[in-house]
Amino acid sequence: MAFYAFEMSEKYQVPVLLRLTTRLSHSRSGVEVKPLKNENELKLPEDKRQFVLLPAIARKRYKMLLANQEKFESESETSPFNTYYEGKDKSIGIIACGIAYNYLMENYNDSPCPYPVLKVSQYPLPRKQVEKISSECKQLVILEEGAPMIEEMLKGYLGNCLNIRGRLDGTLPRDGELNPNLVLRALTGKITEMKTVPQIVAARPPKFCNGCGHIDAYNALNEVMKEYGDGHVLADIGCYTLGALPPFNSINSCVDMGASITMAKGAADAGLFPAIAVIGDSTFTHSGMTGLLDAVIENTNMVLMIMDNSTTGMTGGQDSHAVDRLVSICEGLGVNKDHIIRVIPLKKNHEEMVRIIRQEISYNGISVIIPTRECMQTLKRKTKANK
Amino acid sequence: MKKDIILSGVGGQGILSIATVIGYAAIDSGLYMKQAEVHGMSQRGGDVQSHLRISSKEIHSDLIPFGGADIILSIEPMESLRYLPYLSEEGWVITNSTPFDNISNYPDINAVKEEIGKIKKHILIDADDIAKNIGSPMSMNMVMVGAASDFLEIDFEKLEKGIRFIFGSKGEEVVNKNIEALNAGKEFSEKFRNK
Ligand SMILES: Cc1ncc(C[n+]2csc(CCOP(=O)(O)OP(=O)(O)O)c2C)c(N)n1
Ligand code: SF4
Repeated sequence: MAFYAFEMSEKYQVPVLLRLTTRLSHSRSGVEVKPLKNENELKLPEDKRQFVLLPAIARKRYKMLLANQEKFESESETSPFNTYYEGKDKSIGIIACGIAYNYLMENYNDSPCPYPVLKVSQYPLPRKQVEKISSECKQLVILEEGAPMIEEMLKGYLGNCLNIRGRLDGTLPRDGELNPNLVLRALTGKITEMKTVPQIVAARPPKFCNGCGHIDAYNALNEVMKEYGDGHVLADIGCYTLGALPPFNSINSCVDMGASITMAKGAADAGLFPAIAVIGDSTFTHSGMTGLLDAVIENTNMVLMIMDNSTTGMTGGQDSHAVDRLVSICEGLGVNKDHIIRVIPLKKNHEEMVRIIRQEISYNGISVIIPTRECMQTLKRKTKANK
Repeated sequence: MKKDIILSGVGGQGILSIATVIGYAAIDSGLYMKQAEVHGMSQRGGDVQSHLRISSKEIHSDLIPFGGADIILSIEPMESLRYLPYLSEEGWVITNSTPFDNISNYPDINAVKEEIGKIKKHILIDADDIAKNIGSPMSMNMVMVGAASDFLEIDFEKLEKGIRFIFGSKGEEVVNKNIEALNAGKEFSEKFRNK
């Protein structure tokens, strides 16, 4: 599909989005490999101002995009990824999108599906086929992973133009991942009998690895924050987000990469004291630096903790851009040297960390504390490789 | 031929290697294969689950339907029970008996074994102990592959080749230990069933 998407992109000079849903992203299987496409020759675009998106040019380009819509639609109508299956029983017509088609067909492994099926994997919707299935069938069932986008589109705002079932009328759950059993129930009303989970089975939430430095950093932070209560620590995404779970319950937010710093700054501006931001080293260099610059310029009264484990732990230990650069980045952005403090998150340094966090909370301005100790996983890998 | 296998355990125990060995052997045998993983946060000591489907016919769904699994292959006993809703009427639960106790409310292990004993078709195997006995505690997961090997309808040699594929870069000794673990698991599993 990616191959085809690149070809389309070249043909129409537009970006083509490959839309993945959760299960697809976490699934693998044997694939047929085509020979690699050669790289394009390096050359300037014919229209050299193509990417100068000043209003006058952007307006022109938008007209070109609109003019292409019909072609996109006819591409969809002839696309090998959008197929029409003529089922005999026209009481139901099924529009199955992406991975939902797999769940549908799973229920017809041994006998062919009795209903007409339009499989949609290329957008915009193939109009001809949609018209055909909706005019030939008494009722449509729309199977879509994620949001019911096509269902809403076809139903229309008033919801009275077609007889449509799917996520919006409760035929399928309004939210959550689909699966073969839910699709079967939607079509036949059949509920799968299944065994139950014995009561003794206990929940096993994810945890920090044994010896992870984030544990010691949170233990110190928690001790200090006892005095202030909940609601002061704005954090980010990474392994350290596990600090939101028991037994730590240390952090109060995780929104998007970098939001810890900007949210803490906003909170400090609005009068929250103390305002603490917690971010990973890699997330900091990805999108935390701009927020810190803002805090420096206004000398915001907040404490930033950059949890430096010298890697991108959560996504599997890729190299972090921050390695050996954190202090110089903070200095470069204008943080006062005396308030950039490295600590080593170890049990034996607990008292020292507690003291430093207290001290920096009491400093009226921006401070950066950097608990620094390598991730146990990358450390293990390195030790093994050196053996 | 169609085998739907739920792989379960605790993040870090080596489920992915199991999936890779069986998956490799399946593809090498000209079969279709699909594998869906639960990734990310769950890798850190949380419960992990992977759906492995192999078949001589094209496979549609990436997820095994509830009530459809032929095998639950678990490297942790309590985790084998978590996925029972997936097990088919005639399905097997093949599980390691050594608990991985990293939570404060881990149930009494005898109660866990009792629950496993209630499942019509089950194999309870101390894979940790078997792996230790052959001098390769890390090969516990390959003991489990061995324990399931008779149910996979895949040539045993293909599984050995799968092991060579993933451990080959670590040297001949590691490969041989894992193949030994595979054989030991198979042997124990046969004995357990004939008991
Ligand atoms: C915009 C965006 N890109 C990528 C990701 C995937 N992602 C999740 S956590 C993370 C970085 C984690 O590294 P770090 O901040 O160093 O924390 P650690 O996990 O090492 O504690 C990334 C890239 C994301 N969540 N959002
Ligand atoms: S992977 Fe590294 S950073 Fe993440 S919890 Fe484990 S030791 Fe900590």
